[in-house]
Amino acid sequence: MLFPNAGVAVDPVLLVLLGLIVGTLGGFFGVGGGFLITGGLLVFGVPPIFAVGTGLTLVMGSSIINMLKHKGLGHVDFRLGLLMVCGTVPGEILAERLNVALLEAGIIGPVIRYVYVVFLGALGSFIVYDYFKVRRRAGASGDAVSTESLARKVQALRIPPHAIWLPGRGITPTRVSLPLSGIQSISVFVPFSIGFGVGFMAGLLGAGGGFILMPLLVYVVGVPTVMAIGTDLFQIIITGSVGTFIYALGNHVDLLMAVIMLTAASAGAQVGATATKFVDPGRIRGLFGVTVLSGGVSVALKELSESVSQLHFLDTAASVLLLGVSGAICLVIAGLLLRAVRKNAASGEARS
Amino acid sequence: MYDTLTGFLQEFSSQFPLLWALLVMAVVAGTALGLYTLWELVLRWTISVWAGSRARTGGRG
Repeated sequence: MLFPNAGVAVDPVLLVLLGLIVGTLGGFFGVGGGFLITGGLLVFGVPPIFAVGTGLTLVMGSSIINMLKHKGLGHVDFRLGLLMVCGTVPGEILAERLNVALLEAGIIGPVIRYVYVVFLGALGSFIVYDYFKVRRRAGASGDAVSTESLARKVQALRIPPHAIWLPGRGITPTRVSLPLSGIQSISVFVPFSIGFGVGFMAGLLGAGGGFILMPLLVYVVGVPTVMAIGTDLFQIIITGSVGTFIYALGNHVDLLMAVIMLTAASAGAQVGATATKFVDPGRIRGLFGVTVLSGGVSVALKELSESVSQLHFLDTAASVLLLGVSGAICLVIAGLLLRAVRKNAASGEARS
Repeated sequence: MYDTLTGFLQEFSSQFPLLWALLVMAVVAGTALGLYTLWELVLRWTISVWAGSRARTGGRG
């Protein structure tokens, strides 16, 4: 099938499969899946600029569906989300400036790939390490993490000014309560700084930033895993929308391709988001760690293929690895959901 | 039909960049909301049919 804007012919079945994977992972982990979509579209032969632009469009659409689904499950803290969004936009603008400077210096490609490898590698390794460490602890709940004392310290941080003047509200304290996230009191500057940092990294790496924000909320702020997933999606809608607008303005979005993938992603979102209701939060984080690690290995392979001309085949191998691991994780998620539904049905029968 | 659609997409995107960007965002947001509503209705209907059949068969269905 020929896609008019991108000017390429792609098998729609492949787009449907990619959409299904992105929707399932987005609903289960609270990520936009930008790095996965771009990698997949590049393998399908879509020009790079259209792969990024169309990818961001899908990130925006699938995040809307996933966020609404999580809102229905009571997994979205809009107060926390809005506080973070205030920092995201300045962070993205600063990253844009840095990107221009790196582009002029002619080192943008390797710098972004090195940051990706180090970041994804370190993050994925830590999440997997934390998963096994907490699992060894007897009687630990699914939301228990090894950084609980750090989260308590972050929540107790007293950052000046302690009160600010707001039009219509007068002098207002800068500490807020976030009951939905189980936080009694926290300085507004903490979520603002996190939003700024995530916006900066998202702008620098050309991603939605979900893979950074979800672990930050869980391990640094102490937000319960499922609440972090839902709130994270709210933030991705904003970053995805800004990216979609910019790329569409430059005519680098294939609308038809995005709509086909979005339709498939909506089906995957039902599986992914519903599974978070039944699957142990610790297991969600463990699977997320594996996905992030495979992303790090994939980018490392891409960098190797760029540096050594004889290893050019590694470029395709990297995308295939990422898609393969993500597809396998989707099957695991579907299996976990099926098992939980069967278990629920059996316990319902036993009660009646 | 398909040719008309592709022709429109190509022409509109190259001639009116701002309107095109707004159209892309509106179509994606509208499609997302529509698909979410559709899936909610399908799931609710499926659950009610399943619950009804379980009630009729005394919890064995």
